[in-house]
Amino acid sequence: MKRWLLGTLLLWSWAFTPLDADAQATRRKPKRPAVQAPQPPPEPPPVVPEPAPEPAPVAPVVTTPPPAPAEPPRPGPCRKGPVGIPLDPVRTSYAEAGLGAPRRPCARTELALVSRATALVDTAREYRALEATAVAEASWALRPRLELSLAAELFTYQSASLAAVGADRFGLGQLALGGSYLLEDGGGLAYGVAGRALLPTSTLSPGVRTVGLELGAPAAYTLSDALFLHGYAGVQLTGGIGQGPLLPHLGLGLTVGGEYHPIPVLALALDLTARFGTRAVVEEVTPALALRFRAARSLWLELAAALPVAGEHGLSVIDGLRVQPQGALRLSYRP
Amino acid sequence: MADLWRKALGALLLTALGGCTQDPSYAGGCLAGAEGCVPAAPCPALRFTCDDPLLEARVLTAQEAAGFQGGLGRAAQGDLLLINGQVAAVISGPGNAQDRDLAGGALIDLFARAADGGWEPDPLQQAVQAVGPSQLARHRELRLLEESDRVGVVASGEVDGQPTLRLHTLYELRACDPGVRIRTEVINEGPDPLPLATADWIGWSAGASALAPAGALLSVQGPRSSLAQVACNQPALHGAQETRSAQSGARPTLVGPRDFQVFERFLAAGNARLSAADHAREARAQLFNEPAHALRGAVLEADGRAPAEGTAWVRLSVDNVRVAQTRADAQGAFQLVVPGGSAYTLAVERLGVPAITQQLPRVDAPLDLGSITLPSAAHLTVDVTDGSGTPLAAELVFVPEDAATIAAVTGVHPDDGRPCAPVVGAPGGSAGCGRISGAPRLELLPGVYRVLAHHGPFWGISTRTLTLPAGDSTLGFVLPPLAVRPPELVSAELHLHTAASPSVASDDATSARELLARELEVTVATNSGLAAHPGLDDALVTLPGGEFAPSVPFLEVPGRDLPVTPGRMGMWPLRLEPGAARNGLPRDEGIEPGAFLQRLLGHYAGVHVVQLQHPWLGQSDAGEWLGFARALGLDARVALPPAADGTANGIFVRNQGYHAQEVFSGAAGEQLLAQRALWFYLLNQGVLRTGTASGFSHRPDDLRGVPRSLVARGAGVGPLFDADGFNESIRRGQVLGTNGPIIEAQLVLPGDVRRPYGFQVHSGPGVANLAVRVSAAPWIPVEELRVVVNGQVARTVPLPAPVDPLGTADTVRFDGLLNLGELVAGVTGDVWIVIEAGAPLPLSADLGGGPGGLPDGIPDTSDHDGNGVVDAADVQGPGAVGPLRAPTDASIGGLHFRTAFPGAGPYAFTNPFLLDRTANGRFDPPGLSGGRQP
Repeated sequence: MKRWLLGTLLLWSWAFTPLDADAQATRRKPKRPAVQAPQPPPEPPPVVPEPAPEPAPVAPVVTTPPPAPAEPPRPGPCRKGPVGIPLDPVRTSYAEAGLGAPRRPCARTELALVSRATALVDTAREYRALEATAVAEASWALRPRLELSLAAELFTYQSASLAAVGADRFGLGQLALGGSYLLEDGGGLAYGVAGRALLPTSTLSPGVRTVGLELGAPAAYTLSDALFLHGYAGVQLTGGIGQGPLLPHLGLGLTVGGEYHPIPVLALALDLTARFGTRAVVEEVTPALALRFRAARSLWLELAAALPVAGEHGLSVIDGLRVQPQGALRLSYRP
Repeated sequence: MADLWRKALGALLLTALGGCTQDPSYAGGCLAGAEGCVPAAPCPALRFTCDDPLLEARVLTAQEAAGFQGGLGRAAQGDLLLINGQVAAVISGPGNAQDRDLAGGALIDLFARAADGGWEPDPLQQAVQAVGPSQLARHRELRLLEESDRVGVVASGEVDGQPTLRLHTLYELRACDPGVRIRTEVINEGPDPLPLATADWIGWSAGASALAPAGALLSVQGPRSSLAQVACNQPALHGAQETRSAQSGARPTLVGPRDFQVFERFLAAGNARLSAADHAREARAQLFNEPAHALRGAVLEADGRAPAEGTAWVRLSVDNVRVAQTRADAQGAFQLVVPGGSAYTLAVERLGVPAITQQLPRVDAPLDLGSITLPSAAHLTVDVTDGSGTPLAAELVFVPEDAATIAAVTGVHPDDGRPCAPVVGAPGGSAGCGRISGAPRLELLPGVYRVLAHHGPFWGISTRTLTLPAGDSTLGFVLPPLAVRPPELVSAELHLHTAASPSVASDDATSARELLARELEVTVATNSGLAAHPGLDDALVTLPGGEFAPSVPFLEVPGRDLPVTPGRMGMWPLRLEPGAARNGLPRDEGIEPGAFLQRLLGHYAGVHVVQLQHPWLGQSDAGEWLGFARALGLDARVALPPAADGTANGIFVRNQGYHAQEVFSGAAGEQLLAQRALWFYLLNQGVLRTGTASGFSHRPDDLRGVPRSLVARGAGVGPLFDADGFNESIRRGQVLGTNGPIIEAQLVLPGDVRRPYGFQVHSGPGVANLAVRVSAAPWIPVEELRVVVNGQVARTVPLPAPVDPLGTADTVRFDGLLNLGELVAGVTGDVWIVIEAGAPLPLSADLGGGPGGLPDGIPDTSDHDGNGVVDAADVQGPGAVGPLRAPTDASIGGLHFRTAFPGAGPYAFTNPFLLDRTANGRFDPPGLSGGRQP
């Protein structure tokens, strides 16, 4: 109890102690100049044909052909997007509070409302579960390369039955704060770093507060105007705070996938995520599919589905059926 | 901007962390899973005071264990004992698990201290931790806790089959506690949210009954002792309650990963003076500030005579919801502790009928109600003799004769609430329901009754209609002996559950009185999962036995969605080991009967018998399959395979190491026709096992010894009883099963050499006749004699009815020779022959009933509409098939039989004669066709 009080006081003092101007000045890093989009090479001067000289009787006149214009460097994927369809991996996840969902390398300002549902049927254990979550997501391109993000599970409903016992609950879910920084975006390739912190806001578990941290590296590559590749590697660490066990869980997630834009207002994304962790060597191997299209001028709609096919959470028909599908509907606004 | 972000983050963290539950019950040393942890003290708000400082915890020795219930209870060497001046609690040791206790750590005894310093009978069967109906605790570690002000046992483990559900339980006892404080922590260390309902599965003996669940407390009242459970960290109990068990605990909640559920409760034990419910009320007063006050008084007849102990109950209710009850003691005194602030309705029931109802004032302080006057009952002195003046133990049956009496005496049994008309009280003994055995003094409500006195089915009866007034009366009966039962046959009950068995409602003295009144001479104690010796009475030979009775489903059977429990098998005689786990019987959970019988080798004390008990009985209220063959879904339409082949029949084959099979189980004989068909099928398959008959003895109204097995005796009964000879006779098939008729049958060989039935094979063509004699007491109708050859009735002989059912003549109903050649006409190969006598068999057929609802070759439905065809129109009740009717006798002549032994009509059967007609020196089983052309 004392420890909790002490921690609370320290936290308050840290959060609400005003910073003096000098300290702010000291802490404020100098602003980096805004990253300028690569400029195309200067146009070569136009070749104006000179009037033909009088023919010389001695030697013929030799003309040098003008140099060919240089190929412009390929823009990075973050500058692509024919009409702004987001180039994102499919953001499904079976990890706690969506931690571990693959990230994009590109900074973007966006507001999104996501409704996500996960079902689990495990007949061998006589276990059935359903979770439905409404998530508010916001990302802010603070700089062209820097993005801050927030994902708040506004409402989570869980229902489960084990043998003859059933129960359900609902409440506020977890909150995740994160950010990403684009390291490179050129030559068709973009990559960066991303991080996220899971804050213990959930009211669903009275005896434990779940916290977590994630560090990852997102990447994207342009194959053509209509075809893109993306990938993500991330490490997640979660644990419980409270009277119960900490039970730290370390996970490594690898996602590879692609996105196809058959027409400018429609995209199809297909990903494969493999997750390894301390709970099981292979916790899941999950293909995920998303259909994205423009619903209105700045509104985008995404339908996504995922189904683990291998690993601890994978599909199984041996000794009973085990299946854990996930579906999500995302409505996003991109100013 | 950064400052804003920082403040927002800080506020968010504070909100999150500040929301962490500060409920003190969530603080504990084991939630985090520390090595050697001790859960937080349960129910810390409880305080009890006393003068006795006794407080000890120790591991029981065999000698100490034998001190409880004569060494034949559940306490065993290696169990853990918590004891103070009020109660003794026994927690099973790691190797002493049984029933739902998977690996020790269950509360198996909770004794309340009796007024004489000894211990009251323990009504508790088990209290086992669970998080769902079939999700039981499996403890890995048990540790004793000994501190200056408390002792305890810490049990740590997991939920069975779910290693990520960690579980810790602390049983704690303080010096003056009239019960045990218990805290269970269940921690979800898996990735999924799980619905958990941490609870105690509490089973109690059949002699106890539970008050209707009210949520605040679970109250179980036995004749002399009681149990009550009250939650400490939540206002009410949640769960489900059955007749003899309850799962009572925390409300089901979804517990996420890393989260946990904690359930704290107080389990009180009460003695004859102060019930456990009173202690529980006191606990709730302390825990939830519910005031509680004692109500005292006495119920007496006008002349100051107290009612027979156990026949007068005082019940309190509010708005027609019963909140407390107790029974008056031998002096008529009673005491109840009730929540204060309510105005209760007091109701006194005498002999199961409301006698007095009065509205009490609001109870805000202890209240003495003084003496409450009851209407006088009829007090009878009973004298039964055999005609020569020799006293005879008899059973008296009382039937209300007129409408006024029926209205006045119809009520409920004071102990268990079953309907009774009338309740018959017996000072110094247990009350009966319409009948009572061997009691010299009786109490019942005044009225007009038909009274029938009998001494079993082989004696004459006496019956007359009497007006029994209030006050004292004397009843005399003379029961004439009849030469019906051949002296070489011993009357035996081969399947008796005694009071040590949790499923039994009656005390052993009552059981003994019933058996002796019905003229049983030998009985076998076959308690579920427990070796036992009833030690009922010196006049009754008792063989120590046990019963294979697993209660946790585990056996996967083709065609059934869920695992099953593999039925029941009884076995005797066993070497009893008082103080040892299960008194020496090996553990029977999670094992097939065949493997269990292998474990039993070395535990027998002489020639032993294994009996397949009620093999076609269905499921119990708790879902246990009680009949092995039916649990398997054995298919009698196909032959048994030579070895286990993965089919249900194959599973049966690998578990057929028994000697005898019950054919006639229980007085009602509800599965008689099915078990008869199963026995015939097995005989046709060459599974030659002795057919037996046994009464049920679980419920209080079961008729012990009805039906019975008459076994060819060894050297005699009493001190000279030849147990080995008796058991050899059973193994040889020299058993007659009956509830009244007697069949004497012999093969007549050349030279008039006669051979009894049994498994001796008779070879050659010289066998010409069957000599059959059927006899019965005149009051027992025997309508026909049947000869069954290879599973089919080959001949039926109608039998005459006696002229005077109450006389002593006409006991022999048939005496003659039956020509074998006629009986086996149309049958090729070897044959077996069984003789039956009694009521006609009702028409029945197999409409389904097997796994998946498929037919299984065993009849399941009777012709209830009497149209001569068994079809879907005959199905009654919720199932797709059934019910199956036993042979019944509705004749006027059968009235006395139905009065004495309600249920199935008269029925008797011999064991088979085996005829080697092919003279190859062996009996070749006839197979499914029975040696007949299809």
